[in-house]
Amino acid sequence: MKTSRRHFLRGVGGFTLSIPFLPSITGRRAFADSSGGGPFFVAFATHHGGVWGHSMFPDEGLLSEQGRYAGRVIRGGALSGEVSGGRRRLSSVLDADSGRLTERLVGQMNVIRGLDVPWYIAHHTGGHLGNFARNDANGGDGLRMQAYPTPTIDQILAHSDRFYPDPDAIVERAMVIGARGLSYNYANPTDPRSDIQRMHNITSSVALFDRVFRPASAFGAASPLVVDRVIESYRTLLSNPRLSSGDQRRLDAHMERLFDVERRLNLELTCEIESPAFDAESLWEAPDYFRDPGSQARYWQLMNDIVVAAFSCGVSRIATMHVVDTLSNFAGDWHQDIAHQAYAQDNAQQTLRRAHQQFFEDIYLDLIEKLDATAGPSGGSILDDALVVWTQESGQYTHESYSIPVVTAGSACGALRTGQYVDYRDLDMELPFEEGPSHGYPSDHPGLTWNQYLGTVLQVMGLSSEGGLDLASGYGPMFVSPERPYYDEAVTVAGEPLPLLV
Amino acid sequence: ISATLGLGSVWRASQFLGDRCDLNAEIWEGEDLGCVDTWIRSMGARIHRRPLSDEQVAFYRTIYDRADEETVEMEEWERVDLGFRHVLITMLSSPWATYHVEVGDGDGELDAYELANRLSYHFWQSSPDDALYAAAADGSLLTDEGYRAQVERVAADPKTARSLEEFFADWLRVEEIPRMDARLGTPIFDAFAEDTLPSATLHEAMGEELVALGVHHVLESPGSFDTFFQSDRMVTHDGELAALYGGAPWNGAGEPGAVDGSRAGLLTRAGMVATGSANTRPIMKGVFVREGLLCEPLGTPPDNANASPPELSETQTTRQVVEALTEQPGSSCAACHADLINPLGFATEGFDGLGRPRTEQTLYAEWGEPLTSLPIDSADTSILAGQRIAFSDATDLTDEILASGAAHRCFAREFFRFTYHRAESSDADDCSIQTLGDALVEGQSLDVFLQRVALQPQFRTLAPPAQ
Repeated sequence: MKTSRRHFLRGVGGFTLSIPFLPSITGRRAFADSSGGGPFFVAFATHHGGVWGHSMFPDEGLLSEQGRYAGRVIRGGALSGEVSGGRRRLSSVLDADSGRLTERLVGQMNVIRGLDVPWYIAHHTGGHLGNFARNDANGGDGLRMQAYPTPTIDQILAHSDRFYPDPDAIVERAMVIGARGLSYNYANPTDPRSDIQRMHNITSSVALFDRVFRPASAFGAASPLVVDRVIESYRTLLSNPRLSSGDQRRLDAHMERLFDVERRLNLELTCEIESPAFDAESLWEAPDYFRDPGSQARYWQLMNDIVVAAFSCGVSRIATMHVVDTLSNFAGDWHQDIAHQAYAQDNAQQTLRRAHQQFFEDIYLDLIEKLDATAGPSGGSILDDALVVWTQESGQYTHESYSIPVVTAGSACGALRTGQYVDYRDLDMELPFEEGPSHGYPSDHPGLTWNQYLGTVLQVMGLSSEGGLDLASGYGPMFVSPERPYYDEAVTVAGEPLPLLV
Repeated sequence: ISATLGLGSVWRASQFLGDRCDLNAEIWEGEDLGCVDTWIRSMGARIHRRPLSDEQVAFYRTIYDRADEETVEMEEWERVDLGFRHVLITMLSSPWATYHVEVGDGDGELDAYELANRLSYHFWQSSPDDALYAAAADGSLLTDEGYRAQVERVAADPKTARSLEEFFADWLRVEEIPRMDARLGTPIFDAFAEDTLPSATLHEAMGEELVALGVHHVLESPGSFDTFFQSDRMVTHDGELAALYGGAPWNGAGEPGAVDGSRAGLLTRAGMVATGSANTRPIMKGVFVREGLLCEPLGTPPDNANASPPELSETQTTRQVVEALTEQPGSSCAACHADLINPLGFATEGFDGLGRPRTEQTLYAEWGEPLTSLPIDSADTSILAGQRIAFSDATDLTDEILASGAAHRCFAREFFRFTYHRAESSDADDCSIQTLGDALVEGQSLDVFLQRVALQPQFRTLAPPAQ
């Protein structure tokens, strides 16, 4: 049963809400975009990874379909899980209250195994969405790739005429949420010669709310007339013949931002909505926040509320959320003592596993439930029209980028097959990992490329190779470490949509 | 940048920043447009940080005149207020307020006002004062004598501390100091910490102390680089940190006292050695000394080098664990670790993960029971300025570093980069850095060094064009 928005926002599941919706907002009337809106894209990213594959992924017995693709046998099957003791378990990590992780929601999800960054990327924030250059240069491959910064796919979508055919109706092209940010784009989105910069990220739920629902207040009650004059002052400086070309581009980029401010100030919003009474960022003030998973989950749940509201009102259709919280009460250096010990110490592995499960149930599931409970532009729910992805920094060993888990929800307006568990790994090739098989740890197998995954996301969102976008090799600079020649066939197919899902 | 200003704020801003213009009287009796122009010229000069041209005054005047175009009926005083508000917001949002606009005099040199701004922002992180503006206006700033006089005055001003704080925080990577309380409640850490249970703010105090040490030896009690590097001054105001050093916090008056006699200067300050763990991190300490204090890049580690960090052992000291992990003869790790990295970290193993001095390392069982104590070994050899050196502890290493001059020259290079917001890019830059570094080796006082950076020819010329 689809709950009314008011019911949903008033506390299904017992959570406390920050945004009381008014009854005037129902169904399609909420949408500023009269064409109906959709699809929607949300990307969650979590740090480290490092969960054993047998804990992260569902049972191999579900993989009942087989076929040859890119030189290996790929497998897939219907996603399902056992219900016991009031909980539904797709895997040890993908485990939640069965009243929330319903069969319907499972039918909307996909779990994808065997997507790799085919070189040593180690620690990164940019790789999740395609800016591989934003890595910590833990090895030679990472250092090499720092020379190839690229916009992330959320920004490609955000500035695409295909995704936003009427951008003037959109307040915020992409909501970039979280302390570290995932999104990167050209300083001037219209000039690919400009530098790639990290997009402004928002950590306050009140600031996010104001940015998408109260653009005038978010920009300090600036007058459109004043903005126009400020733009004129920039044009005056630009005419100075002694300005270098680099500085001209910088001023151009600034002016593009001013044009966007001007556009937002002239928008007329149709949503009636009250400001949140509580700012999620205030949770950070508690000295123990960093080891209080309950508070951490609440922070992100409050952000989820705003994302759902923004989607519902049609003021934005993209959100990226970089969840750097540990979702654990572990006291210590998470990076050194948990993430980098998880392959060797069972208690570290279990701590990691529990944290990932907590993220899935308290944050990821929270959002997809809310999206599923909110009417969407196509007559179903917003989730029907959305693609909500969760990616991790690494595969089953922190630093290693084989089989980085990808969990999705939503069919992107029917473009994506859902309810599937797929495995693209070439099981005939066992990967030499010095601390893995030789110590009896689970081995890795090469899969398909991360570039292909990113390209698939763009394609299901309606984009194709045109207007300067080249998806022939998927998305993002294609690089394969010379030590990994077993990716040759995977590289050949990288421009195709991921099999078994599209 | 946009400002939401109430009526009172406009008047207060105008009367504080602009020429005195009794607007309160004028608005009730009718506008004095001459006064408006005067205010625009005065306020604009402050915000643009240089005099407005007549064209710019006319531009802002148009904004004032047209302020009521987008509003319905309003009182006269509301219209006047709105006009001032729009002008102020436009000024504050203009590129001359947001950016440092340096287009020069046509010969590659900064003009007088650009130079005044570069001086004030480099030293004070703020706009020029009246004296600097006056020197720009009368042209004396562009003379060698006049410029030197301003550099000496500006550098000696207490506001220079702002810039120094930013430099030292950046150079010494203060933001990377981990929390000391993150492991409270875990068996091994609690046993290790004993009575020194760290607070949630101890790591901040450690960072502030490193910054304060720099500011003290450059500005408050200027001395040579050696004096700073070997300093034993208690400059912290934090009682908890002072207790770690065996003394009382400094109240800021007079000359600060000394920290406990076990310290060897900068290398052994708590913020440089503490990890917030029962374990130390000699590899990371060594990397910082090599790259941050000696300016010798190490290059990227091999793949997976960081995947297996050294763990606490029940039978070996941290040094022994690190040596076993990274110094196996013939391994790819040993080439860098054995000579370049590890020794520089082992030198300070005489201080534990909370920054406390020690002569032994206690080893613990998983549940926190002390198992045994093993002696600390800080002695080693390393390569410094192309020569192999030997040292027995952090004091020896400090002496060797200072004798080589490497840290002096690195400091000069880092401060050059901080000053110009770029890496060195020309023979002229290299020459300047060499000159500045040599002077530090010879014992030049750091306050004089500070002035000399601004007296380099590059300071008065346009930056290389951005690509």
